[in-house]
Amino acid sequence: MVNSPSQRTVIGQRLRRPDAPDKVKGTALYIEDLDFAGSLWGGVLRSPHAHARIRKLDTARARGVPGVRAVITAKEIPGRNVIPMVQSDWPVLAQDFVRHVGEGVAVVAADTREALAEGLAAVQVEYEPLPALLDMEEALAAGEVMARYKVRRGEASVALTRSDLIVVEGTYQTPYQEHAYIEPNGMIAAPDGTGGVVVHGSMQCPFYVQKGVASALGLDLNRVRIVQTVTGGGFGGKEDAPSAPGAHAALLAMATGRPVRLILTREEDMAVMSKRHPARVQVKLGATRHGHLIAAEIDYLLDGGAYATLSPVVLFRGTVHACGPYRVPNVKVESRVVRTHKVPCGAFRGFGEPQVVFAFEAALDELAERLGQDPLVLRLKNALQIGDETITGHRLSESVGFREVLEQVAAASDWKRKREEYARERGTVRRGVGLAACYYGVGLGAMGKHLNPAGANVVVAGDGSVTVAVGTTEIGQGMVTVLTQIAAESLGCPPDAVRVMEADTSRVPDSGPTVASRTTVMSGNAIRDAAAKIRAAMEPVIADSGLPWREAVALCVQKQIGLAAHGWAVPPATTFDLATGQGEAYVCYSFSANVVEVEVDTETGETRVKGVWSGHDVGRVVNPTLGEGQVEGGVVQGLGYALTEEHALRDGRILNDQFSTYIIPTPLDVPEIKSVLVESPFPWGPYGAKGLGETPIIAVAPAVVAAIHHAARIRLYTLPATPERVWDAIRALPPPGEAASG
Amino acid sequence: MLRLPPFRFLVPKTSREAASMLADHGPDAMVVAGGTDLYPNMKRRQFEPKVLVSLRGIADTRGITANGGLRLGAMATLSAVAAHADVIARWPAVAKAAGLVSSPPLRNAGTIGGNLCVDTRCTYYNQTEFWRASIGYCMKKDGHICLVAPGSDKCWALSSSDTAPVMIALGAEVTLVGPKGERRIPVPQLFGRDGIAYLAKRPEEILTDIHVPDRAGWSMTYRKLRRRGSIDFPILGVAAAIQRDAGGIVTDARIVLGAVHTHPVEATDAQEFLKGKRLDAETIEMAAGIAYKPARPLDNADLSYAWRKRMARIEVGRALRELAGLPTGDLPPVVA
Repeated sequence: MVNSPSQRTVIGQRLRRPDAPDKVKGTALYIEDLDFAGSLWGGVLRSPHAHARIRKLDTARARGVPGVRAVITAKEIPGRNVIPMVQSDWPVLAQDFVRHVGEGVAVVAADTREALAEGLAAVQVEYEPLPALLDMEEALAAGEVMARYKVRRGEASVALTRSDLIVVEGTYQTPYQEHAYIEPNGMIAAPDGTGGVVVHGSMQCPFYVQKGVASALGLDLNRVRIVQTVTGGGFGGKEDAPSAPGAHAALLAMATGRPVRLILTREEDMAVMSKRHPARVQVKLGATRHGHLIAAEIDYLLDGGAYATLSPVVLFRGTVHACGPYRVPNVKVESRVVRTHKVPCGAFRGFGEPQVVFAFEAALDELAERLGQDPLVLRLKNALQIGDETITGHRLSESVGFREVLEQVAAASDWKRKREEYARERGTVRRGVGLAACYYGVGLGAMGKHLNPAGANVVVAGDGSVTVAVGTTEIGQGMVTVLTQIAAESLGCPPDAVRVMEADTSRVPDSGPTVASRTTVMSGNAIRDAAAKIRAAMEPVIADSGLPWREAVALCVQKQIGLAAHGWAVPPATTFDLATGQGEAYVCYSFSANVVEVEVDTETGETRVKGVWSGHDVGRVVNPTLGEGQVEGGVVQGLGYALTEEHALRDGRILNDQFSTYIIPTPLDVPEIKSVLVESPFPWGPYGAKGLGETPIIAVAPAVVAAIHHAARIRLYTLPATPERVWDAIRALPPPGEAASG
Repeated sequence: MLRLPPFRFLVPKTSREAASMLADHGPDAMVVAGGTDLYPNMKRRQFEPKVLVSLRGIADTRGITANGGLRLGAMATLSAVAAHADVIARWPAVAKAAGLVSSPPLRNAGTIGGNLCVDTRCTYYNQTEFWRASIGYCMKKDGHICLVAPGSDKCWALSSSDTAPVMIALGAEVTLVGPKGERRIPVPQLFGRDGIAYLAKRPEEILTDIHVPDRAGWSMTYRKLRRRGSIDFPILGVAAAIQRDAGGIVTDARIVLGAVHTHPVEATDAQEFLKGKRLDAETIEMAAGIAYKPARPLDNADLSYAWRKRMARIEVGRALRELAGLPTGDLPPVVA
């Protein structure tokens, strides 16, 4: 039967992902598994200094090393020496100055790994070390501000002086976070024989890499073909950053006329590729004695590192989400991202929200305690509902499932009983439960509108098989499966007839970047648009024939009906005023809340997470298995952020650039995670779907820290909650007897 | 990925032959057992041997025999030691320590002899070549100064063996085979007093066997503090073994701390303090307060040294409570 698009059969099913068997068996071919005949080894000479002037850069000796085929520095770049991102400040290779440890100074291609190592060592660089700005507060004082935003709503400063308000205040610090994708960045570039270049690699956004490579080589975009290989995770780390290795490999391939493989080691990737921004957040939050939020003042500072990459956009998202999914009538947010001589920070799942949400939710937890209210009750009292306005004055008219999310995670976790029971614990090891919430504007929003439209090409072959081409990518999240379901649903064909193409810029349209939890909504809608055109062409022929799909297609072929279409999706128009921070920051929002249960060893400060109940209003669940996968993966990453992950630096050098010292949770360290998926449909989204990629990570750390407070009575203002921080805070408590009970 | 540099791989048939090969090649050669510590160190160029002398071709080096005492062939894997019924029954601290090293795949490859001889560790040493070069190297490899304690004339890299503290606590000995003969020494004599020369054996000597005496009537345990219950190197190890008479009076006590110094540290004052006493809560508390004092952690491992030192007191207390049958009051282990 050809299903009418209204008869839903595929959406909501646990369709198996086609890439699973290869990935499970180890037969999927990642970039390092690929072999190009005659390929050279490429590598990057990197700065040992955080900040220095390059006095001399001599490549003559390196060029003379046997087996070395090319040595390229800034002055040999044929195009522009800049990676095009938000600001044009990020060089492909350092010119005159180096501004962070690990910055690329020269690239070398050689016949063998040994010759490459020798060639890199033979490049002579004379540095004049310069004073380095390594602290974000010092950078702020020095005026090194990359971008700033604000939100002005009501009269926050005045309101906070009201004598009837309970006001809490705190300064919160959050660390670097590493993406820890299973596969480091890597590219293999080869000349295409007609003056252009083909670059294969691990990435999220082939069209970003295309821009970066074309700009460095001085080529038109249609001379640069980017092919995404099976990609071992991105999490934002393969959004902006891969343009650098892409350009490096392409420069070497064009200079040598041969394929060049440039694949970073894990240690190199951790040392030089982008990370989540460290942050300092000051929060002042006031509520009435009944628990109605009245005013918030937030000062949000991010450490951007040496170059802007996507930092301004990251800051924008954090700024407009600074007060979480709550009604707050008076708000003043000041935010800045500053330039330091450290590794550039960039896109990371959550994109500027985890830092500020940690601070706001921690302050809210403290406020609940001061008010003597259950943290759940306080949140329910202030939860955004349909008809409410966000802090940017965006009136929400649809798809707000926040109350349901809160109520369902509370019920699933047995919140009320545990809150009461655990508060009475007195042993060395004490249990606690904590709650935190967030919301997330889906898509690129006010700061990235021009990148937000998505294209899709859908072609139905004569045998009824369907090829779907989109420019967003499968990065492990399950995009291919979800888009297969959407294509099948909107065409009315069986899902096994659909093939979603690998992302190759010569074969797929630009659908915008695979970021911002936008792929299901944007590529999904582009596919629906194309499918609707094909359906419209088919309808006159098949009418009410009741023919199965493949026979219906055969009939259309007989009748000379063209069954291919280009789909295009542009989100509903929004307006935003940067001067006041007021307007529709995003077209719609996903909502989330987590309950986390912990045990804290009060003698050592060690925390063990016993359970996580993670709730998300996703509009509509396209594939429950993949939805749960997103939740579980995001929560695990959030638990690492909460408890163990951070980078220590010495003189701008990252001290822990290996998985033995950068501590992420292993499967044994992760408790059972219960996903609670709530459906509050977003009418414009495909079948009501919103985004789910990022909400799972955002409100985990504040829930962990709230649970630690419930267990051990301590407030933590700095992430991660390491044993020593917990232990220090416990030691600082008043001795038993003097402590407040409960 | 980081890759191994080229090297020659020799597979001698006897321990004596292996020792001769090491002697012949001098500082160019290193011995390899399971390779779980050696190969990553080679990838980071902390070790740069031209020749590796493998112990895998030598017959009868994996045996575990328990007749009265326990003999562990140095090539017995940590998994085999941890799972051996006699070891679990009669020397449970040995099984526990071996079972707490790293992760299952590494315990399947890593050996008990290798863990005893595992390289010392330091934040500034366990780094890639690029990293160490960028900061000018440290004295343990290629450099002249200590980056943890500038001005120090010795290296402070930490002993990071889980099994060494247990072996010392149980009074174990090791057999060392050289080109011309063999000798047997108590385990404490295997270790030097410096993070660089952390092994006191001669470079050409090969550790072939570990001999643990019968400890019937003793109670023993090993506790390990680390970031993840699933995998990490110790940031503190506590081995404790207690012998008590029929009346419950302590007749002998051994407490050995790991990962707090360049070598395992015996808490001799606490041991003496415990002798002649009953192992009650108050005595344990006092013993723990004495035992943690010789710990000398520096700012060269995960988490702060002040916290690690204080944890030595907590963990010694818990180890002794465990032996006394008192509740330890801590989190259950991640790896059961």
